[in-house]
Amino acid sequence: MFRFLKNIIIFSVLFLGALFLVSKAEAAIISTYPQEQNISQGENFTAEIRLDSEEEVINTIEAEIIYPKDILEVIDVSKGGSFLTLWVTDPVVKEKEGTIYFAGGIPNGSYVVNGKVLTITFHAKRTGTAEIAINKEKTGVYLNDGLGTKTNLNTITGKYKIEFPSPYTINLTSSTHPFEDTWYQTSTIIISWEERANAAYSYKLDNDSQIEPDDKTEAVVGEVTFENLKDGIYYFVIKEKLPDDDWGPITRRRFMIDQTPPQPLEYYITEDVISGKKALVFSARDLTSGIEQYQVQEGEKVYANSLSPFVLPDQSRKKVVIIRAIDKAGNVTEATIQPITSNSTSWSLIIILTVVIVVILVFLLSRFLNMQKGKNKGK
Amino acid sequence: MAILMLAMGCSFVLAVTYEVAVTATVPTPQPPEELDTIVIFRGLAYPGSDVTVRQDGTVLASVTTDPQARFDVSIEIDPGVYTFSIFGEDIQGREGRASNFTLSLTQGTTTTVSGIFLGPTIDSDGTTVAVGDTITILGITVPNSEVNVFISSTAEAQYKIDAGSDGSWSKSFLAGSEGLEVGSHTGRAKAVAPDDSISEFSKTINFEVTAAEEPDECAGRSVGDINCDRLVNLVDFSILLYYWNSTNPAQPRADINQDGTVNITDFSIMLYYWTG
Repeated sequence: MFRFLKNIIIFSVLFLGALFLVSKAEAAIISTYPQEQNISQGENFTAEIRLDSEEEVINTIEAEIIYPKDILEVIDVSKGGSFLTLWVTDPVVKEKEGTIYFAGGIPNGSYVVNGKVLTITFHAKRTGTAEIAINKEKTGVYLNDGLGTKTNLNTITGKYKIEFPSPYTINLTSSTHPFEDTWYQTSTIIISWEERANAAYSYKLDNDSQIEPDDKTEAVVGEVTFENLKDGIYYFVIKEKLPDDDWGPITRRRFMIDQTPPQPLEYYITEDVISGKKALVFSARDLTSGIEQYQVQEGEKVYANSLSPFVLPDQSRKKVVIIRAIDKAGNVTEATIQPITSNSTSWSLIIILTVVIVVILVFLLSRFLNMQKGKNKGK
Repeated sequence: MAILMLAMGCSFVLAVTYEVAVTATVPTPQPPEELDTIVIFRGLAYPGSDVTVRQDGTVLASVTTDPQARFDVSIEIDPGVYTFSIFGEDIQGREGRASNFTLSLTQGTTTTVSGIFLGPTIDSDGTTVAVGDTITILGITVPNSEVNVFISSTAEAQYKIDAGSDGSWSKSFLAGSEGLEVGSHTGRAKAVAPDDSISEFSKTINFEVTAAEEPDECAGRSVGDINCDRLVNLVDFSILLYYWNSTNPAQPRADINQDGTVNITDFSIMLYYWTG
């Protein structure tokens, strides 16, 4: 009996030990950032989707994000600043299902340490706890092993508490950044509010959405200016203290700056995508606000919201083609592709130029000779 | 097993099962906004070679390794999230495979990525070899390393070679012998340095063993090179998207892993072979 119990104990220890080792296997982690936030009903806020590859080189991720559609509404999904550079499927929002799906990759893979995948802007419609989760059944992270192997995956759900707004908030306005959800090119932020008589204010501007002002009274009140700010998302937090009262609730407002155009375009004209048709294939990346749209201009005609591959209307390639990548702040990067000139056209130009040069030389030579003749007669 | 320790004012360490280690130091008690943000990369490449650090296509630094193939490069940069790409070019002008690191850098910290061991450079003296001829696979790595060369077609075979004191290595194979039958093959290599540290994989080379004198235009091309123009780039990606989710596509090379469907697995394989 004793020996039997001893064997059971040994087996259990070995079994649990094996389970422990298996559960400690390497696994990529997809999470939201921040993982927790307190938001006021009616407020717009951002949440990032991040990936940590946990010491593995990965090159592809596809994921479905689930959010409570009765509490939250998606305002925008931005790829700006994502470490993914190629997108098989741009983020697709399905409002009726409360899901966001995307798939993208990074050529040649990368170790990823807390890398940003997407930035989602939500509107808090109702109070409650909003969980932003990853649907593991439709999510995969793939190793850069040339075999498309899916790695193990762990996910962390973000929990956002949507509360009733405070009865009193400070009304903040900005002449430089009128709207919270819009990207602007100016690196100066001016923030104004109507100060109350004898009130003290404490405020702070930071990239951290969770920052809070301290209890020190600021000297400048009513209007404050922040200059020479770098690209990014900023949060201005402010609180007010009336005489003989405690500090009031914090009012928070977001400001978004992007002065930098998208990175140089990569483009090719090829007949390999659609057989027999010359198509323009292009891609660009924006490090901050994200690409809003591409435009293709052929000659004088501009095609807004162009998608790659773009079949060129002029298959003879006689017109100048310009591709523009425009980010959400309106910054533009463009590339120009010259038309193809035929060989006979090139030779005609060369001949014309040669004739013109010869005529000019003959004219100058004859004038020189005439001047020499004149000098000799004078002698 | 990954170990994460966080101690404010000291450092946090992400220990890894491989040799790569990432450390970050936050000096105290000075306010962090007054201090520089620095990232340091240390490791092994090829002797007397140029090692370049790029970020988003911009070259941040370039250093020359010592005769033992060691490099140590320090870069001052603004805080933020970046993907750094590190690659080396050996003295024969062959570029090795890049190692990428996506790091979140905090103001005032010094982040050190050490233990990097870039994969050997690799090349072959041909992309097509007829049965009965030889093909030589060669490259450069850390001096006096043991190089493991992997040749794949339907199965993978491994061969061990010793690199010389100058880091160079090579091996010749007879086309048509066991493991090198008529068909497409890939080759890649990994080095084990004298201190037993193990490198990343090299780039993958492709070659074709043919019976006929005239190979087809896609012979020896990477599986990711759908249009067989010797490049795996945006054009191939565009072709892949064109046939996305299709079964038995009209362009069979779009189904890279030949499982009958063009899907996310094919995309991942293409990114592995990306040349740009």
